[in-house]
Parts: sequence; C-alpha cells; structure tokens
Amino acid sequence: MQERKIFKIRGMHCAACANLINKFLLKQKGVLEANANFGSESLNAFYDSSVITPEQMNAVLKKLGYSLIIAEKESESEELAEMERQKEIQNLKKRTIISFIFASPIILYYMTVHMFNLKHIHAFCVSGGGLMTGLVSGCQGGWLLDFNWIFFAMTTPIQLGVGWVFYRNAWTAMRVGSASMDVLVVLGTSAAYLISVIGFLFSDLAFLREWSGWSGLDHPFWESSAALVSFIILGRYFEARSRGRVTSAIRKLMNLAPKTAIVIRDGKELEIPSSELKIDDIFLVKPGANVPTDGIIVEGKSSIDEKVVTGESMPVGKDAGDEVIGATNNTYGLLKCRAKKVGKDTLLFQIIKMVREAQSSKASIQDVADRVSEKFVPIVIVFALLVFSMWYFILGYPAIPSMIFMVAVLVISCPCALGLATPTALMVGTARGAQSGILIKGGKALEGAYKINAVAFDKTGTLTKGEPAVTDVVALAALPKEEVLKIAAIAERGSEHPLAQAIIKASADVPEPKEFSALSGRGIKAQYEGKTILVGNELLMAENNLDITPYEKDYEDLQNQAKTVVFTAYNGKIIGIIALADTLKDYVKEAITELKKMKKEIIMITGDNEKTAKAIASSIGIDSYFAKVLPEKKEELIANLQKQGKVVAMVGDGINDAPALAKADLGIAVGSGTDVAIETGDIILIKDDIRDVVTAIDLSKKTIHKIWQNFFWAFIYNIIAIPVAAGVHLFITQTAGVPAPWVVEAAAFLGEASGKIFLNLSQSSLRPEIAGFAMAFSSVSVVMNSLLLNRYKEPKFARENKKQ
Amino acid sequence: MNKFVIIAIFAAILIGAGITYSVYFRAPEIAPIKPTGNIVEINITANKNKWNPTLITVKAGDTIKINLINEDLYDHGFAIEAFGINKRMFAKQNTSVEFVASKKGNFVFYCSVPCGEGHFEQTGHLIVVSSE
Repeated sequence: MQERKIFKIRGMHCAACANLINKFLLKQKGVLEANANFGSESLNAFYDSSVITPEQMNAVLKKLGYSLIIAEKESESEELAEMERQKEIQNLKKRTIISFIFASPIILYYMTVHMFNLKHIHAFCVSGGGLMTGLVSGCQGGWLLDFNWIFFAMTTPIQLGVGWVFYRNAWTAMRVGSASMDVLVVLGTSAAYLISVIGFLFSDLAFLREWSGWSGLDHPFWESSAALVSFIILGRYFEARSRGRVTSAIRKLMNLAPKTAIVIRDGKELEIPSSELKIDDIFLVKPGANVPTDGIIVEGKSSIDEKVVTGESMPVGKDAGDEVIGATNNTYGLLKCRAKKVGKDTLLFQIIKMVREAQSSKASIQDVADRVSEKFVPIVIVFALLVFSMWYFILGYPAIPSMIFMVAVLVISCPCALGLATPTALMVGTARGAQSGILIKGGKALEGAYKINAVAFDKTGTLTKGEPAVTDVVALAALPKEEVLKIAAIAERGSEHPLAQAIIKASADVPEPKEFSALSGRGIKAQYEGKTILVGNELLMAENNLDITPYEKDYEDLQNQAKTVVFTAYNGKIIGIIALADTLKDYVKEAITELKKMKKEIIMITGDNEKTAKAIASSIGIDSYFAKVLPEKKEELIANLQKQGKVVAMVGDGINDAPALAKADLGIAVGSGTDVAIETGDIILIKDDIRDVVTAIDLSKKTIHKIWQNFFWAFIYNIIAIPVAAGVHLFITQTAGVPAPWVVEAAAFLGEASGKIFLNLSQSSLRPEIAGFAMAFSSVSVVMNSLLLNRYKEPKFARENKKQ
Repeated sequence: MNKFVIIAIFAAILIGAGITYSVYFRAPEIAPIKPTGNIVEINITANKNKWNPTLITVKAGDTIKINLINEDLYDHGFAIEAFGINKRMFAKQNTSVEFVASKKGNFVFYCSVPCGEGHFEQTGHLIVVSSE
C-alpha cells in the first residue's frame, strides 16, 4: 500500500544533510519519493508500506547518523522535535562560550600585533627574573615559556572540540558532492592548525627536530583557526535561535479546538474530552464558546464567526441544517449540533496537515556563504595542487618549502572574516528592523524577502480590519445624517449582531429602546418614545408597506460597492440608508502603490465573494485577485504561482493563512493576527501597518546587499593574497633572484621609505605577518560595513503622516 | 559525478604527471642539489631592526647552520622562503636554524615578526653559488 507520511528527523545539522538523506532513502526498495527539509527538520516520504516500514527507513538513516521520530501521536513528535531543537540551541550556546573564552586572548594578541606592527614578545621568562628583568638579562638562570605552548593548548579544544561539527558537516557535504561553507572552513582552519602544530612541534623542539631532520618553521597561524571557528559558531548560534518555530505554530493550532465538549448522551449533558467525540454525537455549543468539531446544527440559531478558518469577514448566520466548523466561535445563540467529522477528518486538522506539508516541501534557500564556497573551494584546491606541482616538480624546490607554499594558499583561502560576514549584517539588520517593528526570523527570511517578485495579500484582517463598519449614510428625509444613524442605533441596541454593533459604534450616546424584536432575515423593529423604528432590508420595508422605489438608485450604487445596505424607517417613513462594509486599514493604498513601484506583482486572495473582492481590489489598485478561495485552496494557489516561476511572498494574519504562509517563499504575518500565523511567518509586522511590508522587503534587500558586500570585504584581501601566498608574483617581480627593473623603478617613484617597503615586500611571498594583517583588517572592515546598516532609513513614504 | 572525486582524480593525474616529468624529462640541474656534508656555520645578529651581516655567500650543497642572535628587547623572526625557514627569535636569545643550500641563486631573508618601525626594511640576501 502506498502511503505519504511526514516524519520529524533528528540530527540534521546542515543543508547537505537533506540531500544525503534523500539520496540514501531513494536507494531503498519501496521508497518512491523522499523529500527531506533542513529548515523544518522533516522528511516527506512517499513509500510502499508493504515493502518498507518507517522502522526500516529509520535503520538506514541511523547508519548515516540521523533518526526518524516515529511517535504514536502526531503531537508527540512535535514535542520531541521541539525538545531536540532546544537542546541543540543550548549545545551551540555552550560551544560559543567555550570557544570565545579560549579564542579571545589569541585573537586580541595576534590581531593587534599584526595590525599595528608592534614590537612584542612571544615568551615569558619563568624564574629568571620575571618579565622585565628576565627580558633584559636574556632570562639568565630561568627558562622561557614559549607562548606557542599556551596557544597550542587553547586552540586545540577550539579546532578539534568546538570545530568538530564542521568536520562532521563537511564530511556529509562531501559525500553528496557539495562544497559548502563547512568544507571551506575545514580546509582553511585545518591547514592553519596543522601547519601551526607540525611547524611548532617538529621544527622547534630539539628532540623532534633531531628526529625529523627539519628545523626552522615556527611561525604559527593559531589565530586563523581560533577566530574562524569562534565567529562561525557564533553565527550558527544566532541562526539557530532565530529559526522559525514551526513546531509551536502547529501546537497552537492543535490547541485551538476546545479541549472538552458537552455532549448529550442518554438525555444527559456530559462534559467529555473533544478527542472522545464520535460521529453522530449530539453536542452543545454555548454562546461565546468555540465549536468542538465539524457538525450540523440540529437545533438553535446563531451567528458564527468563522474568520479563523474561512477568512470570511462577517459572522455568518446559521440555522438548523447548516454546517458548523470546529474551532469557530459561536457568537450569541445556544446551538445543538450533530458531529459529522471528528479527529483527523476535521477541517482544522486538515489545516494542520497542510501547514506541516507546506513546511516540509518548502524550497530551501541556500546561504550566500554556501553559494560562494561551492565555487570557491574547488578552485582553491586545484590551485593549491598546481602551486605545489609548480614549485616541486617544475622549479625543483625541496619538498617542504613547496608544501609550505601550498598550505599557505589553503590557509589564506578561508577568510577570517568569513564567519562574521553573515551574522554581523544579520544582527544589525534584524535589530534595525525591530526598531521599526519588524521582526525578521533569521537569514533565510532575509534571503526570501530579497528574492520575491510577487506579493499575495490575504484580504480580511490584513488589508481590511476584518470587522464591519458604517461607511455611508444617506439621509433621505429632512433629518441630518447623524440623526439617521442615531435612530438606527437606538433600534440596534437590542441586537448582538455584528452589523448592529457597528452601527452603535458609529453613533454616540445611544438611549435604550422600549421594545425590541429581531426579525430573522429581515432586520429589527423597536419602539422608542412611542414611535416605531425599523432597520432592515427591502423585505422588511415591503412588509411595512414602505415604498423603496424612489431610492433604488442609491441603494444599488452602494450594493455594487459590495456593501451591506440597510434602510432605516422612523415613524412610518423611510429616513435614510446606511451602508456597512469591512473597511480598509490605514495606508494600504500607499503600501500597494509603493510595492508596484518596486515592480512586484500584487495579488489579493480572499474567501469573500467576487463582488466584494472586486470592489476592494479596484479601490486600492490591485489588478489580480482571487475570490471565494477556500482556506485549503490558498496554499494551492501559492504553489501554482510558484510553479509559474514566481517567488511569492504571502501576507496574512489568520489561521486559514497559515498553510499559505508556510508554503510561500516568504511568509509575512501581520502582528494583530493569530498566534498561529505569527509563529508560521518568516517576518512579523508588530504594528498593524501594512506599509511595513514595504519596509521589510526594502530592509531585507539592503541587509542581503550588506552580506554580499561583507563577503567582498572578507574575500578581497584573501583573493589578492592567494597568488602572493603561492609565490606566483615572484615571476614578474624578480629576474634571476634580484628585483626586476620595473620594481626598482616603481620603488624609486614611490620615494625613500615606502619605496623600500614596496621593494622588500615584492621580493618575498606572503609573509605571515602580512597574512595576519589581512585577516585582522578584513574582520574590521566587515564589522564596520555591517554597522553602517544602522543608518538605514525606511522608505520615504512609510513614516509620513503617521500621526494626523 | 561527485566533484571531490573529480578533484581527487585530477590530483592523482597531476602528481603522476609531475613525477614522470621530474624523473624522465626534467633537466638534471633543476633538481635540488644533494648535500655535500660540508657544514658551514654563520652568525647573524639582529639589532635595532637591522641584520648584520646583510649579505651571505655559501656554496650549493653545503649544510648551513645559522646562529641567530637577537640583541633587541623584543622578538624578531628569520625567514627564507625558498628553504622553508621561518623562525622566531626571542628577545635577547640565541636561536639556530639549519638547512641544506639545495638551490643556486639569490635569496632574500627577512624579519617575519612585526617589530615596529623599520620592520619591512629588515632584509638581507643569501647567495648560493656553484660548488665548483
């Protein structure tokens, strides 16, 4: 039997892991499709359960160092995965702290010395007069403690302990043929560490020197290893902490359905856990309570707020025979319903499933660092091999100097600032975003925002406020508009209906009516100061022999704008028309205009009818919209847009938007929305201001640009230094061992002091202190460049007229 | 194919070709000169960011033992790239390096440890001449 299932996976530590898992699982008989996802740490598997079981798949993955979480209950697997995640973050935090405790003295010592060309010492005199006297006397009677011992002891735990994860990741990446950033880091730091250890131990220690017959290399690269590993692990820690918490989104969804339900069994009311509900159970829903499961009303009448699930802006009036959806809110009436679907078949559960599937199939965006190193690593390795061959085979140099040239290329190829490029820009960018009320969840969100070319908006609650408000009042008699509204409000005071609430809200100091009766499907009738007030539709007017034909035009005009229109009659005479609609949030129009200027395609998605959708869309200048979209179709719609090659951002607020938010390349959740949407989104707008969508996209773009710039600054010194490390430049700066004529001329041109420096530098390959300088300087450049992002200004329009 | 496999194959071919070339096709005078067993001892001092002497001439194939004397109160370093030498000289200490002058030519030696003003001008030359 063929089956599709989503598992949580334990032990995924890098993007290449997903490829490795897919590769190995697809080799198994019975696995038809395997799609592992690093971001959501899950596996979407389509397999033949008669050929292979999840336990067997787990056994395969165990050999690679991963394991499937096979839990009895879906919710348990989420809990387990979340615990795993917390453990991972704690682990990274510990590593970061340990790493920096050991690395900071090394980094400080070497970087200051190299950057400022300082006179310094690299050994303490022990028991020979101490630091000062010992130094002057040449440490007579004492012994020198070479700092190499201290740095060796401090770098080793960093390189082999903290940095162990890089070896593991690099190995995984290499098995699938990917040269990720981990490979570059392993290559560079291992080269630096090994040449430091081997050079120091074998050429500096007398007894090993005798044995190896080699002397004279003790200039170490401790700081290269220590700084790289520390900064990269710090970046990983930030990334892990900010990674979107899909798990809690799903848990929150699960908590949405009430825990208990009141059922009627054998004529008695019983409170039972919702999970024990059975099909055809009769259950009660009290006013203000949430519906426990999907069913049909058998008795009672109410208006149900289905916004959370369907996205419909207005509560829907429901009568016996109508369907109710689990997790929606019953506003006023007491309902007796029959359960139609329970457990995994309910609409809510379908949404949970969709969120999970969307997350597990989301295309992962590759880090800038990974993309750079994918090309860079093979080039460096090949170049290093060529360098060795040139010196050793062609120029006939001894083996050790030839190898040192090669190792120098590898050491310098991995910039110290590599680990700083992404996290520093990310830190400044996200901090800057937070100041503007925009929470960006990690680097992936930024990359997503940078790439998008289409923005899909959910209408209700995102573009509009999600509740009806009075938009127009047409006074038909001599009375002023305020009076018309007030009279209508008096009658509506008896009603709980959201439309009634909107009318009351629009008017001030509304007195109580004397008598009141709600007329189902027509409106309201009330007595006030001995006169009759009628508020309702044309049916109610006709029943009371009031002719509406003179006002037909006003009425139709308003209806065509997709507004709910009611007549108000007072003392046997029609006095006015009141129109109600879900109103737009502030600045929506400005935001849309700006997005269009940014050449993004704008799409509106709504559960509302065609007419309402069209009215809203045209009023804010959106060209393409999809009306009557069922919640489960939203995600499909996004997927279709993606299939057309669009990179789509989804802006939404509701639970019904969650699958689409998860599926979209970038999910933007509006902060006033539901927790579930907020947890699912990649970017969260804290303020209820849709202009922040523009700011978020703009800021993301700037931050990504910053990251690229950082990579430029990180790599530029090193890329220039690579041929120098290889000694390639000597071919043009030397002729037969003496400076080439052009170098001498150039030196003369540069003047006395700097000319001499140029002349001397041109005659050697990459001098270690120059390498140290490049490393320190590139780190400083990267940090400075990132800090410049603090000066980011929001797009001009965004903050204007904020407070009117 | 896995790009690391391709790189490994490339490396194997390159080294193979290199060995073949150096054994069968390379002019014999390019190969490192075999040590003659003759040991030459030389003293070099570093004082106020200057080498003394700044010019050393040795014969190819000789084993060179250099005693490095640092007279300053801070560290220097002694480096000759062609022979894989890069040695730290502790303040007020004597250090030694040893290598075979296996190539003829003019080689730069320089200070490899930052030592303040004049650091980049602290250089000298080692000239290796033919033993005949």
